[in-house]
Amino acid sequence: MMKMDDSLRKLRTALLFLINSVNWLMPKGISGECHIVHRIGGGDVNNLKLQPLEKQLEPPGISVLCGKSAYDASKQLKKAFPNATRLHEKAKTVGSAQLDDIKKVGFDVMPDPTKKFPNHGRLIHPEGVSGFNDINASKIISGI
Amino acid sequence: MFLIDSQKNILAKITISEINENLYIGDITDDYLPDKIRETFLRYEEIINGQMFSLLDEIETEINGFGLAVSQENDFKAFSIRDLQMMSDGKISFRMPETKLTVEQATINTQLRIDR
Repeated sequence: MMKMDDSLRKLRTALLFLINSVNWLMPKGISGECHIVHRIGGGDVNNLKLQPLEKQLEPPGISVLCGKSAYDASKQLKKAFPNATRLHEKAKTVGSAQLDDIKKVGFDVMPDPTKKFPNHGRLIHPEGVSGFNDINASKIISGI
Repeated sequence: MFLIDSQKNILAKITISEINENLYIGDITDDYLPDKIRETFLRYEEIINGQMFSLLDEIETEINGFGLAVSQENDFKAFSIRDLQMMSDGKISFRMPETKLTVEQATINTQLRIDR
């Protein structure tokens, strides 16, 4: 029974992955196309790991910001959270990657706009939680 | 300046140190926050620092539901605020689009209130 649940969950994640890949062409709330995404804190493997709450998302994934430059992403974040000193410290380093390069290594980015960040996206993997392992993460880093 | 709830109970005393357009930034000098509100803002801080932005809208809706406001007048006239953020190090920020105060106004009025 447990194996069936896992299989269904993986199938659902894979389907969502496909749907979101299509949605990215016309993402809601994002004006213009998104070709490059930024991850605050840089492209360290540890910064690309799922946190417990992110594992519960459907599909599981981590936050990225779509935008022209890493500087813009950092600036946008500091403006949104003026007192978040820990995050400001992290924002001194930003990892950026082309969407095409992310797709080449098996990940994708789905549009996930929020009120604060209409350009927010979620880095996802068709295998869901298990896709966010060090080997796969290092593939993204090598492309950054 | 005070952070108050919808019943005008004082939840925190605030010292404003910087105003940038409608953004007010300062420190909480004393607080009497109920556990539920404190716990929610701790979760909010965890989401911010962990950049788990997929969860932002949900928790910000929860925070807005508390109906928190600020007051600086002796008659406890409430000023509506939005985008309230409280950090565990005592830092606070919020936006007050409908009222414009200077840092001096906020500080002087808070001082008057404490002196009485």
